[in-house]
Amino acid sequence: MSIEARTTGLRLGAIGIGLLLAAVLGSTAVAADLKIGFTLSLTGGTDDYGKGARMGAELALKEYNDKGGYQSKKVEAVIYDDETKPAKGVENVTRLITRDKVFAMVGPVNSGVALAIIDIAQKNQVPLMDTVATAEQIIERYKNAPKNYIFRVSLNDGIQTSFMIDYIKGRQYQRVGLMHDSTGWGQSGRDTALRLVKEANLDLVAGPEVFDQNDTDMTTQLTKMQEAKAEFIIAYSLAPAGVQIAKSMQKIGLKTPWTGTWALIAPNFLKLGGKATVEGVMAVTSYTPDHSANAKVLHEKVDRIFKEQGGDFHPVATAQTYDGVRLLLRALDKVGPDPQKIRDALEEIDDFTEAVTKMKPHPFSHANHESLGRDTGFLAVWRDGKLERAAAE
Amino acid sequence: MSLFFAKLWQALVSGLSIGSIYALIAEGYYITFVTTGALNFGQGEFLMIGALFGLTCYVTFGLPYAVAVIAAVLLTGVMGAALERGAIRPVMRHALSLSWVLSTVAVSIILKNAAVNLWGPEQIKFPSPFGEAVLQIGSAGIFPQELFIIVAALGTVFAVQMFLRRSLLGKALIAVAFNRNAAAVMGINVPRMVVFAFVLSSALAGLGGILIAPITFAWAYMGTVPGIKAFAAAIFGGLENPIGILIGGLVIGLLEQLLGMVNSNLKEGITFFFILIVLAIRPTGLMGRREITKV
Repeated sequence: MSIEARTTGLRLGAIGIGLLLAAVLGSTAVAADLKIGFTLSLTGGTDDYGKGARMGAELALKEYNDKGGYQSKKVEAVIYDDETKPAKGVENVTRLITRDKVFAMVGPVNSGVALAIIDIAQKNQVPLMDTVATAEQIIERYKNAPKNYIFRVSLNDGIQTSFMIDYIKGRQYQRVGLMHDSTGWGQSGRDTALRLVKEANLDLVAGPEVFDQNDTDMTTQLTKMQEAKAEFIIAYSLAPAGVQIAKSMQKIGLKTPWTGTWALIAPNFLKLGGKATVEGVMAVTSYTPDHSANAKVLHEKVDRIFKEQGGDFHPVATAQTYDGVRLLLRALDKVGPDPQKIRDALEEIDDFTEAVTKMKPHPFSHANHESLGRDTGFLAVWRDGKLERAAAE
Repeated sequence: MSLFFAKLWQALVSGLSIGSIYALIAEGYYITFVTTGALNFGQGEFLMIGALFGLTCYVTFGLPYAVAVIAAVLLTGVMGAALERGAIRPVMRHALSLSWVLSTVAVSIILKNAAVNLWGPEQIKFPSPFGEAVLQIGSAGIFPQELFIIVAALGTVFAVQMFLRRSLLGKALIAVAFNRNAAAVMGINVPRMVVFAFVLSSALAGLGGILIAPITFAWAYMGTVPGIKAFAAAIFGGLENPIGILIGGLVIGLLEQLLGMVNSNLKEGITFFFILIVLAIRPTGLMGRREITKV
């Protein structure tokens, strides 16, 4: 390539980037199309959650459109796969705002992706409903902005850990062990747990012990829990490593009760481990298919409609996204497809009684963008291949 | 004190099982290196193919485990021949060419991609044919599959050695390794022996895959870490010494577990630091200076 050609190429590239920037920054809030945009992990490590979330979204939109839609216009879903990569998430959200002109967005699954895209949603004043990702900063980053455009229908990491602490307190355990995987998520979970264990005056007798998410033998870490006579173990682990923890406990004959986050309610945990291995393992959840009449109805629908798609991904991601999308549609009914007005309306909805999660009829306010709080979740335990609520004392 | 020994025993048993897999794959590096001077950097991906194809035979088609093992070994063996013809021979025309590094890495990436498309990106359970009940050996617990891995992997390593030393075909292979030109003069078909070396090497990786899948799950990315650790074992033990490689594999597996007893944060770092020190003292590996077996 000659030098001239190269500079011309560069110049064209610069013009292209400039145009793109102008498009991103200049996009006004008036979106005429009735579209909700999604960026979800449909491939990559956490695709179970993404596929579960997509089911919830499709179901909510289908029901809404079947009832006539918005002023007899259908609301459309524009769904992009972010491959669990932050850069891809940024690309998706930019495209949703500038090209698809969506009035609201839903997603993502992964906290790393979320932290990369919330700035774009906030800057462009398009509401983003996080129905899966759990990092606390997702909501906190713009908490003190005049208007926070980020909302959540999911249990953040701190709340998840507080359910574990509540359970430990209820059982009157004192000696706690802590394990986590070496990912960013595992490390931030460790920090949260260390803080909350200290605040609750519990004794951390073993750990934090770290493991790689693909490790197959956790006996050395668990032997330390055994030696320290931990009465309860908290583990920040995704499903595959969670199975290895359970198996390694069998190897050394350790029967200490232990819990993971909601990563261990994933159907994948049961599939990889088998009934006998996961028996007695606990996990955080905001939802079991039979915790309320609404939840039961949703579960039956999902079973029926998505059966042929192998409709068994992540029931909580489905339920939370189902609620999150219906909240957006409720706001749409009230104020029309204007992103800024939708944001304001979300804070005012106070009659959302059909939730399948345990959110309140008035889930959001100006000060609070977390719809699921301390009183909406609990520890569930695997019994005979099914999740039950763990008895608290 | 007795608890300390119980812990030590558990770490030894666990380390031996994973270490014998490293040794099995590392022997594959040895076989191709001594015959051609090239290594297959895609050994880990051949392991993965062995596991996933074995899974399809064993779970999807419901064939007996032994048949699935043989099928996985055959498939990876054939793929080894294809690798040699397609990715090694064309780039090895120049004696000092290092293009095989890239071509084998390229094949490994292609295999990974293909596996994601065929079997998906997620871990899949590979049920152990020996059940999931823990066996007690003294104070240590071990899964029957892990015990089987130790026996099968070490047994295979010794069987391959016997084959290389005693059988005509094996001796021909060693002769090519020892002196290519002299072997050709003696009437040995050198190109055919080179293909055979890659078949054997890849089949060992495939066998490793179907052996460990019940422990690690079967999935498209399962081969990367064992591939690298086995490579470390081969270099650490001495790339031209099969006994050194066997020891190298076992040492790396054991070190990881023993160091994990001290500090789980540092076990891999310290393991590789130890390898660096050994290589600084003995650049050709632990047992690398010895001559290869004479024919």
